[in-house]
Amino acid sequence: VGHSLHNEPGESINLVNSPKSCDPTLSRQEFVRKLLKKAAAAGTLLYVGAIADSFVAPPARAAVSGATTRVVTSTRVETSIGFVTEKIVNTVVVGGKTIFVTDIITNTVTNTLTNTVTDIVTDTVTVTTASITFITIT
Amino acid sequence: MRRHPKILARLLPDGYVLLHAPDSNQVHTLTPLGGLVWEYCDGQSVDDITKQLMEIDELGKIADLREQISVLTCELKEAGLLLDEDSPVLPVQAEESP
Repeated sequence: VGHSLHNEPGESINLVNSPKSCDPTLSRQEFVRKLLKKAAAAGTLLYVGAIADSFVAPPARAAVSGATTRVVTSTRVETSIGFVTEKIVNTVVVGGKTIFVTDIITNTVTNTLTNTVTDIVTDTVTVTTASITFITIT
Repeated sequence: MRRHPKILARLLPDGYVLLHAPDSNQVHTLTPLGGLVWEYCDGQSVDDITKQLMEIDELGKIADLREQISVLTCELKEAGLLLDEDSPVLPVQAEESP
């Protein structure tokens, strides 16, 4: 039986027989189902290529808050005039832990020629607990 | 092929998958299809992964799915994220930040 985007929310999952996924918080079945749902909702399921973005996280330092600015430049040909949403993953290191922050930026496309877009994102994170190990903030 | 054992992965809200190599502090975001391929790289061959992904309704319609998976696995291997079965485990190399 294939997986489907049309599964009902709350569909029962056989956690006993489903192996752990690459994301240790999810079983494989949960991981695949959630990925398909999220990608379908965002319209990203059939995006080509494997790696969308690569960068080096800032070095760890002892602090209870941190901020990182990241500049991302991309050049591409847009197919239609209007708005395009960019997703940028940034990292902020606080207390020696790396926190991933997803920034969603909307850019305006004014022509369908080759466009170079520079997005600058600054994320500041303050933590009040020392128990954070690996989280994402959107 | 198998995933590099030291890499941490998290599913992002838009279906992308975040990979973090703690040794090098290198971060990669995988497209949803790349994330699915990554998930099934647990010792399986490209043919095995193709069979599994063909069972997913939305992907079964893709005519050249096997070729796409082959390209995606090469891309992941070149980035040092995937290992061959007999490869030693080396740290993921850091790249220049854009």
